[in-house]
Amino acid sequence: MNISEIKIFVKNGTIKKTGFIAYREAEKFFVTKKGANLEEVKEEDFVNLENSGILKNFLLAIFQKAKNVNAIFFTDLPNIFTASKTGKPVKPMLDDMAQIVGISVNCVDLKLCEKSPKRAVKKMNDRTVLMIKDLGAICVGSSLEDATVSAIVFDKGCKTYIESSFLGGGVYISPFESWIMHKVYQLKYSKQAKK
Amino acid sequence: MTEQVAKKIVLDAGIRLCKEGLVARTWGNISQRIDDKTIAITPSGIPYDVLKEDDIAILNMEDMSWRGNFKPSGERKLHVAIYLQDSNVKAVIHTHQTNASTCAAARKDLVVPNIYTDTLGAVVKATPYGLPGSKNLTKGSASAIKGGVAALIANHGVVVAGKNMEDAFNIAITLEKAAEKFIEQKFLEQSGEKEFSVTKMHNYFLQKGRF
Repeated sequence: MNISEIKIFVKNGTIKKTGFIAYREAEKFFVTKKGANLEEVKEEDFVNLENSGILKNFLLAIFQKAKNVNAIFFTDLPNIFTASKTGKPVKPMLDDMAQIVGISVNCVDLKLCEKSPKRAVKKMNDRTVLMIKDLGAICVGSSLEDATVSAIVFDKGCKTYIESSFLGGGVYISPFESWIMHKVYQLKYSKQAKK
Repeated sequence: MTEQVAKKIVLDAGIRLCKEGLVARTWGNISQRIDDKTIAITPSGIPYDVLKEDDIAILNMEDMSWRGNFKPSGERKLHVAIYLQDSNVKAVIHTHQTNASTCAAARKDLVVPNIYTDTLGAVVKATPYGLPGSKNLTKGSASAIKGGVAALIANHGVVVAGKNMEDAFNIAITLEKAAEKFIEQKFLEQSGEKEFSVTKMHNYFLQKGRF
């Protein structure tokens, strides 16, 4: 894990400084210690996820279900934070959200992540973001940078969702077109990554 | 203008586009007219921070053939349609800037606040919906920008056309400010608040159950 990269994303607000970062390395899983200040994060702040209490089973369930997920963090970017308070799914009104994040982003209670991690992961489906009610969202990616892209694009999607309500309402992209866009993006991106 | 000069203008514009916060990563695209038949245009899928001058593609607008290290942007037909319908257009920028994209998601024309009409005109038109890179998106955007300097591309972003790259940048930045002001005005009208703040807008959104 690139510590200086983390500090940049924490400083610009994409990763919550009192949140957590988890990552996979050689089929081992690590997470930041409870109470770690991510703005000043150090190598020794990461501990083996299997020995940690912070959403341990939920994070392990994500890594085990999605083999392409190597990084997970928590965000409370302002628009995501507000959208998480509605408790409702956010569907894409902009095609970049459809492409990168997926058809829609669900919202679950933190308790569900703690008590029924597999059910919470199921709610995530193949999206790269899952909102946690009243708190923000969990973002995942094949790298930390990828996960931050999802966070930024989803925050923009939430901004559109909130602010277009004052313009008479935004128009959602159809679920079918969103699905196609997401799959095409994944295919194109995985080909580029292989190159 | 030589190809090399046009490539440099496009490359510099790409870096500036990221700095101004109008795009991130590989999103958005930029082109510069070289002559009546050719443009220099950003390639598809290469992040601006690693792009080199020779990665900028040279596109023939007559037969859509191109030269360069990488395939030109997937929105190249949109750029070409705008150049072909107006010979005064010398630079085109397509962005996913946040405030204008919010207006584009509502698929409604943007009534430009008075302080920005010198640059943008009275109205920035919204296009009908079309998939990225599709004929519908190209035709709709070219039609919406005709006679103006910018268009809101439904559920996608914006496109602006300038008499040079500096002009195109000025239009894109002004459009972002105008869209922000437009949204703020709509919030103030509906909420009865006297002053705008993001917190007030979000609280109103939640309290009124506008979701």
